[in-house]
Amino acid sequence: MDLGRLGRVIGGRLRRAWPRREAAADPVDRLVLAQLSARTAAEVRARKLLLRTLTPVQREEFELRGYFSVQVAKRGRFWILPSTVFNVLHAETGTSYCAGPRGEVPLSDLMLAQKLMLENDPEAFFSVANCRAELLPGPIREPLYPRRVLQARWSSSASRARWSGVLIPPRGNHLP
Amino acid sequence: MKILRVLDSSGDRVMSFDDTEGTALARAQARSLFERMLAGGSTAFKVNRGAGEPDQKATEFSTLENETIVVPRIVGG
Repeated sequence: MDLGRLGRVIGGRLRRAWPRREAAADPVDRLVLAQLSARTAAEVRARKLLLRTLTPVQREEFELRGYFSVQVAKRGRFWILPSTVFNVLHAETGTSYCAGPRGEVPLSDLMLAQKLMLENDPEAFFSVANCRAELLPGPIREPLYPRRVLQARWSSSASRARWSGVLIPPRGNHLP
Repeated sequence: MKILRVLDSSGDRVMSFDDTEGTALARAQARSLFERMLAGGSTAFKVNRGAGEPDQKATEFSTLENETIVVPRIVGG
């Protein structure tokens, strides 16, 4: 997604969340709005830096699919996915790794930090990274692996959201 | 002009300096920040080096080129 479109999407969501100007008079609304605005600005800034730092091949992959690959010396190819946890995926084994900069950074900065570490200082990355195997049903061709992992995670979070949306109204005579 | 970027919650913090007398203060501040960050476990990389040169890890302030990105200490998630 290009930066202009990203800005329009986020701007549209903000307008829908705060449809009337007076709604932002609430101090809590103002605080949340300010935080969202700051995070959006940080993500846009980080996205620009990431795009400028990726190689032409990585930039093409990222713009086409939303993720990109890095070649790590003696370890092979890894995919860096747009996710904040376990987003470094070994292309051959399907093992995913989780490590990133201490403190909060925008998602694009996280992906950039992981790219730089994996390409230039992989031992430092793997010495602290946690890892787990991604379990997906059936045989999957390697180029499709990142997309399937993302789909599995998104569908999993969607089903959790559906369950959490189920409300059981309390009955007055059973309240504690 | 050389640029030192430190990744943070705002995206990145930027310090600009060069080897001239006019930016001596900025250069000293950048050197201080660079050395403090690396001492704390951060890692620095020379990026966007031009002519297709690959990124490179940097450990000495004197070897920095046009653009350097400092990644705060990496921790397991």
